[in-house]
Amino acid sequence: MGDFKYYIARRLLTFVPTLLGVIVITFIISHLVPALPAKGAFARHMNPQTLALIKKMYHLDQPWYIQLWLYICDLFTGNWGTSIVTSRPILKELSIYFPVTFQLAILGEFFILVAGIPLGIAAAMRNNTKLDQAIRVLSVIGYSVPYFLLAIAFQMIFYYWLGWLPGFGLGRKPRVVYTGMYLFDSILCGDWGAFVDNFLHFLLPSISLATPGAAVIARLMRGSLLDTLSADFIDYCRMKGLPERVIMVKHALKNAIIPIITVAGLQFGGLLGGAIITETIFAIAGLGRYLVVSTYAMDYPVIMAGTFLIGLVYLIVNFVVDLLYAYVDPRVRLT
Amino acid sequence: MRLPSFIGERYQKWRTRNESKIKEYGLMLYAFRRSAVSVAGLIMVVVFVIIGVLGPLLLDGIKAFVAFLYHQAVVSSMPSFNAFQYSYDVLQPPSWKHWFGTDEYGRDLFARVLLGTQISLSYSVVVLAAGIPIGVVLGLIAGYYGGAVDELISRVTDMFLAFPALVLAMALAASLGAGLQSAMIAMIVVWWPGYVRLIRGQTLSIKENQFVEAARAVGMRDIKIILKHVLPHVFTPLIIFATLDMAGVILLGAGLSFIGLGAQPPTPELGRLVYDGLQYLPEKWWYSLIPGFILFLIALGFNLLGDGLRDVFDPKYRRKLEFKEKSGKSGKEGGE
Repeated sequence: MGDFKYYIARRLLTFVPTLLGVIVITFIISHLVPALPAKGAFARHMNPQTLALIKKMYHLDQPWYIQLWLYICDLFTGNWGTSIVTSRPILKELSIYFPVTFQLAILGEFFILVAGIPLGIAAAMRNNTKLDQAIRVLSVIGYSVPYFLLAIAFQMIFYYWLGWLPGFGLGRKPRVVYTGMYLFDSILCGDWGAFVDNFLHFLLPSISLATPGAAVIARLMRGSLLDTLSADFIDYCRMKGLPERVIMVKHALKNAIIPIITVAGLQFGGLLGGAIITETIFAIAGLGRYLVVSTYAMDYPVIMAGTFLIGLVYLIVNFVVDLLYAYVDPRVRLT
Repeated sequence: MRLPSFIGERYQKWRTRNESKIKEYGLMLYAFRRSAVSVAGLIMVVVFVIIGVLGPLLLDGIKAFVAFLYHQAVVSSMPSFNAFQYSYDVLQPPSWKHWFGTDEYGRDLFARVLLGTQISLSYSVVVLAAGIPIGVVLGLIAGYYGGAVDELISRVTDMFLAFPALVLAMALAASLGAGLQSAMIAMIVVWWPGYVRLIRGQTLSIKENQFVEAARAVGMRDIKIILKHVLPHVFTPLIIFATLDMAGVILLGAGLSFIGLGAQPPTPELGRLVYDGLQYLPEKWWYSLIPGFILFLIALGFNLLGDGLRDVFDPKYRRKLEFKEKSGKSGKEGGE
C-alpha cells in the first residue's frame, strides 16, 4: 500500500491550492465586489463617522492583501462573521442548518446510486431493445426536469392528493441529538420511531433532488458497461467458457463501475446546490433555505459564509472520492 | 426555367469535387431523421426559438389573430393578454379568457410565461456567447502549449469548478445586486470553466496527430496551427456541448430567478413565476406548475436535440448506419 500513501500525499498537494482558490474566490466576491453596506447604496445615508467606523470594523480601510490575510485568519479561527438579520454568529447558525442539508444530500446520493446504476445496467444488458430506448428517453427527461418542478409535482401528488407522505418540514427530533442529522442520530440512539418519521419526511425531497443525477448516472453506467463489454478480456472470458452471469458480475461490472465513482462525487455538488431549491419548496430548515431567506433579506455575510462552507464540503467530498477511486483502481495511483 | 449552362457546369464540377462530403452530410441528415426523438427535440427548439426571437411581437400576433377570429364570430369572447396591468381577475384558473390562468394581481399568466420564455432564452444565448469564446481560447492555449501555462489555466479553472454551479452563481449574483444583468454575469463566470476543460482535453488528443506534427515540421506558426488544424476539430464536440448547455444555462438561470436573483418584478421570468406561485399551492396549481413545465419543455428540447446531434456527429455511428443501410438494400435487391 505504499503507493497509495504516496497518492494521498500527491492528492493533498493539489487539495491545498484549490482550497486556497476557493477562499480567494469567496474573498473576491465578498470584499472586492461592492456588497457591504459601507460600500454600497447605504453609504449615502450615513454620516462620515459611522462610515469610517464600519470601514474599520470590516477592515475596509486596509489594502486588499491584508484584508485577504485577515479573512483567511477569520475563517480558520471560526470567526465567520455575524448575520445582519439575526445578529447571531453565522458559524453557530450554520452548525444548526448544515447537518440537515448534508443529510439530505447524502440521502440524495444514495437514491442516485440505487436508481441510476441498476437502470444503466439494465439498459446496457438489453442494448438496442425497447427497454433500452425507454430508459434512454426517461433519462433525458430526468435531467431536463428543473429541480422545483419535480419537487412541486411530488408534493402535490404524494402529499396533497394521495396523502401518503409528509410534504413539509423535518421529522420528529430523536431522543438524543449528536450531529444534528436526525436520521443518523436516531439510529445511534436507537429511536426507531424518529428514524422512520425522519425518513418519510426526507423521502420526497431527496428523491426529487436525486432524479436528475440518477438520470445522468444511468446514462453513464450504460455507456461504461457497453464499453467494457466490448473489450477483449470479456471475449477471452467467454472463450474460457465462463457463464454469462459470472462474466457480468465479476468482470464487466467491476470494471464498468469505476468511472461512475468520480461522477457520483461530482453529483454531490449538484445535490448541495439543488438543496437550495428543494428545501425552499419542502420548507426544510436547512442551509439551502437559510441561504434563500438570506438572499431575499440581502444578508451578505451569511451568503458568503454559506457559499464557502458548501465549496469546502464539496472539495472534501471530491477529495475522499478521489482517494476511493485510487483505492479501487490501482492504475490511478501508479500514474 | 433552366439555369444558364455555365452555372450548371460549375455546380456539376463542385458536386463531383465534394462528392464524399455531400454523401456524408446526406448520411448525417438521414441519421438525424431516423430518430423520432431528435426530430421532436428539433421541433421544440424551433418553436422556442421563434418565441424567443419574436417575444412580444408574437404576443401581438396571437392577439391580432384571436381578434380576427372574434370579428369573424368564430369565438364569442376575447382572451385578455395583459402581462403587466392589474385586474380584478385574481388567481383565476386556466380558461378561454386566461389561457394559463392569472396571478395574484390578476395578470394573465399566458402572456407572462411567453415574455418570460423570451427572457430565459435570450440570457442563455448571451451567457453561452460570452462564455464559450473565453473557454475555447483558454482551452486551446492550455492544451496546445502545455507546461506552466497549462498548469496555471487548469488550476484557475479548478478553483471555479470547486463550487456547485448554482451556489457560486447565487453568491456572485447576490453580491452584484439582484437583477438580470448581474445574474448573467454570474452565469458567465460559472459557465466558462467547463469549456476550458472540454477544449483542453480535445486539444491534447488532437495535438498528438501527425498532421499537427507535419504542420510544425514545415515551419507553420503556432497560432496558424491552432486556428487551421486544431480549432476545426473541436467544433463538433463544441456544438454538441453548446446545445446541451443551452438547457443547462436555462435551468441554472431559472434556479437563480427562483431565489429572487434574476430579472426583478414586474418583469416576468419563469423561475420567479414558479416561486411566486409556491404560496398558492395546491389550490392554484397553474401558477407554479405551468411556468415550471414550460421550463422543462425548453430544457427537454435542447437536450433531445443535443443528444441527436451527438449521434449524428459520431462517425462510428454513421458507418454502422451506412453499413446497415447498404446490406438492407442489397438484401432487397437480392430478393427481387
